[in-house]
Amino acid sequence: MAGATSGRSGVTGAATVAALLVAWYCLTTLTQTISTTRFPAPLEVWQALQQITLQGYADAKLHVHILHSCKLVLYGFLAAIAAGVPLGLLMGWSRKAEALINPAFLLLRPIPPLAWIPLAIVWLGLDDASKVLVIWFAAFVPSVINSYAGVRNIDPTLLEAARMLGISRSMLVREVLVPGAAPSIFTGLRLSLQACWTTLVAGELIGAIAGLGHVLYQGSLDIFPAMILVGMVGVAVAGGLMTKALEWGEQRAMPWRQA
Amino acid sequence: MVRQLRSIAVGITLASAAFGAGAQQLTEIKVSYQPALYWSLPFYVASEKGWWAELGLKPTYSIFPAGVPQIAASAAKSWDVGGTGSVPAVLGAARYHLLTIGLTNDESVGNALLATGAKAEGFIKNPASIKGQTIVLTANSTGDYAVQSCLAKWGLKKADVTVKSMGQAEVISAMSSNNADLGGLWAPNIYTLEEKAGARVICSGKDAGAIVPGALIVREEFAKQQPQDVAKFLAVYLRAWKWLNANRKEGVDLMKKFYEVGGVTISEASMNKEFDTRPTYDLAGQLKIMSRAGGPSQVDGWMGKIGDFMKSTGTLPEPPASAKYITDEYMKMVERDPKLKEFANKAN
Repeated sequence: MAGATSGRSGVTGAATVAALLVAWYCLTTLTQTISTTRFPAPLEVWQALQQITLQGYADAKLHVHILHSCKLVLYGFLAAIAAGVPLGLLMGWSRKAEALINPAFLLLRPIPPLAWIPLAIVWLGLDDASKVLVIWFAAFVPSVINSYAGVRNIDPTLLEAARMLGISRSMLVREVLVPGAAPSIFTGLRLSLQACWTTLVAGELIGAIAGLGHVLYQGSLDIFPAMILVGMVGVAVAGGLMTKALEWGEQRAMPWRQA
Repeated sequence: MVRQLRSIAVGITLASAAFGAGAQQLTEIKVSYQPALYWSLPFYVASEKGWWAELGLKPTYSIFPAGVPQIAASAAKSWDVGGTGSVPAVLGAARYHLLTIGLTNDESVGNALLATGAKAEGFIKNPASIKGQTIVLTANSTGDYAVQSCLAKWGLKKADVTVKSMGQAEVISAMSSNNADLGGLWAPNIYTLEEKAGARVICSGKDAGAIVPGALIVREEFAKQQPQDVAKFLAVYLRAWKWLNANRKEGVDLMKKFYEVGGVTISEASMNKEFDTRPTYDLAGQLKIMSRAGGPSQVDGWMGKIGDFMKSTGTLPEPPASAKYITDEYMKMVERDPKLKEFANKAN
């Protein structure tokens, strides 16, 4: 029954995409209702895709741009969760830690990640490290907040029961805090990953030598809407695949949550 | 932001000055340019002197930080005529059928590769040492073209260096903070970096044998609808250059004001250098370099090389044919009309 529902949903989705493609073709090519100087026709996008895939564009081929962007996102994301999740757990678990860390965190939290770009360049130069730092800032905040909220939302009776059983601190973290906060932690990770991609595009606008953000920037300099669309689709596909991978990891980490 | 606000302010001032100058019925013409650039100065001078109104024009200025947004804005008919770099002019021809109707100046010296003071001497003595270095520049600009020409002159390819693209302000910032040793800039940013960070020009477009022109452009539709106004626009522009070249001291004073409003402060020596190193063309000169009497014109050749450069960077699959977007028709209209011709050749 579930398989049939999933199948119907897939067909509906495919039909929607097909209808959009047909409408796109009709509006830009067949009737020319929308000028291709404003929005590219499907053929132009196809040609742009061929150009970047076969000859390269903005100093590299498409796969190089995608891999470079994925690398930056992965570095920033992993660094952010390595710092953010433990910090959030600590703040959620210990009132003292919260009192100590929270004021500084609240001060940094509202600063938009892009505001760090000039400082990141001064600190780390124009190489990838400055971009990773900016991505790190973007991904760090959701990681901390959701980990913190995850711990705070654990049923107090579970914590009480654990204490009554006299389990060690490390076991408390491993067996109660982390599993109890895991759903919220993974929500934070998804938000962090999304923030990484949003920030990456802006981070690559300055001084990048490859990456999908660099393609978008070069496309805008060249007034090349078709290539900009290719870059946007590239971001969507790469971001979507990484989100899928994260979902796969989430299912593996929390098998009890699967229906 | 402050720079943009200043630019908007100067635009309003210029438009107001032009508006107030004439009591007759004036025809509005939307003029686009980039602030604090040598070739933009004639627009400011013409407004200060009230020359637009003398020909029945009322300019409304649109000011853009760079050529690409300027070209993109033409699609929305944000402007009718203007000046821009040759790279944006070719891009505009390919994307939006913009016509090149004259040259603003020869800025071959005003587009260059600079190195930080500490490294310049080494690079000048041994250009091969540039191999493997990082160059920060504004991609798809006349500065980029000059840098690529310099690399070619030294037997280097683009792949031999790492090119990082950014705006001119970021290039200045990166080189001033020693985050980059080499940068592609255009004047007056060259002078800013020389004066404020001790950088040195190690190769200009001219040194590399590349002619880097600036272009006077018009939207094709506007040119068809109001050709006479396009000719008047050219006459005003040409007269401003005549006057500037004949009145250097007063011209430098106006340039100082114009640059300051655009957020650029450079020494008087650098301003004089702008005049000394960037040839401009009067009516006869424009007609000569655009003449196709003996085959393709000089301008066809210069812009053709820019088109080839843009093809090599992947910006354009094929550069537009020169004959399709470069035309001396409007310069000839100035030449044929005795009143406009006299106006364009006035130095007072």
